[in-house]
Amino acid sequence: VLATGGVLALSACLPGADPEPARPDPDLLLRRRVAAQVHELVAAYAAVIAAFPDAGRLLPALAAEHRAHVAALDGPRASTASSASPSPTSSASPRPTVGPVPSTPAAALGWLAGLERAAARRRTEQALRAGPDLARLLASVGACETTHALLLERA
Amino acid sequence: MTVKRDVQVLARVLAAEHAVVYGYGVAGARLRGAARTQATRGWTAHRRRRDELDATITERGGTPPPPAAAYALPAPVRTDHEARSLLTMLEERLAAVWADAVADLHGPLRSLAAGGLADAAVAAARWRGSSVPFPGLPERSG
Repeated sequence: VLATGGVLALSACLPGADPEPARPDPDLLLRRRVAAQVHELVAAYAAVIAAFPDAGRLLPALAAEHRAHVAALDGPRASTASSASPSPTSSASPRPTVGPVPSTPAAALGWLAGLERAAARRRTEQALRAGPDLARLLASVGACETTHALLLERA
Repeated sequence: MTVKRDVQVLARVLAAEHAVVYGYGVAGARLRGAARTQATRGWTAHRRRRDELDATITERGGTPPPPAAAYALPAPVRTDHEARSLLTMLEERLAAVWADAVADLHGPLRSLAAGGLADAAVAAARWRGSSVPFPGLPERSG
């Protein structure tokens, strides 16, 4: 017990020491997977906006919130992680496949709403497998996706 | 030990739901038409959540905290606009309490908390008229 205490005290006295623990973060893979999935949502919004440029200001606003999700999921670890292995959202990976955009604006909004609802359900499942902090973030992202679905259905 | 911890977390959320039910009662009286209907629906939904939490705490051998006799409102509620602002703020604060509960709970109770967070986020967006990227996470707002 004394030896353990000594080690802890020593590392606490070294502010220059690498704060990253040696063992891998169990949440890192999950963070990356979710970021890639949210990236697909961003791509779906971009496809709808490209197909219907007059669809209004709602779609760009919602897409911007998803980009904020990707940034939060990449998080402060992104810089240290990217040196070890490529990120799934890097330009080297294939473009996300979003499927064909429906042929009318109303159908396209309904399609996005369906993608948002499916994403929100996934987020709840993923939160069950995450550590406390990531679970809180994933639940918030899922709540945002649920809200988006509602706004799209009412638009 | 874990059950005791769960009960503490659930009691914190229940106390917040009590306050929101009170707020809906006050703000709802200032609203008319579709907004009044929406407030009535919100009031009913929060009472349902309150009862669900009450039962969940009791099932685990805990004592559900009762509501306070009255709550101090952060601002006077005299107009339609003030009523909407109060309900937006109450749902946002409630979302933050549910989000913290997500971090503190596991398994089915974590799912329950995620559902509570989503409901509060949707209700806040209805009163606000727009969404926010991170409902329930005040450190990421603004």
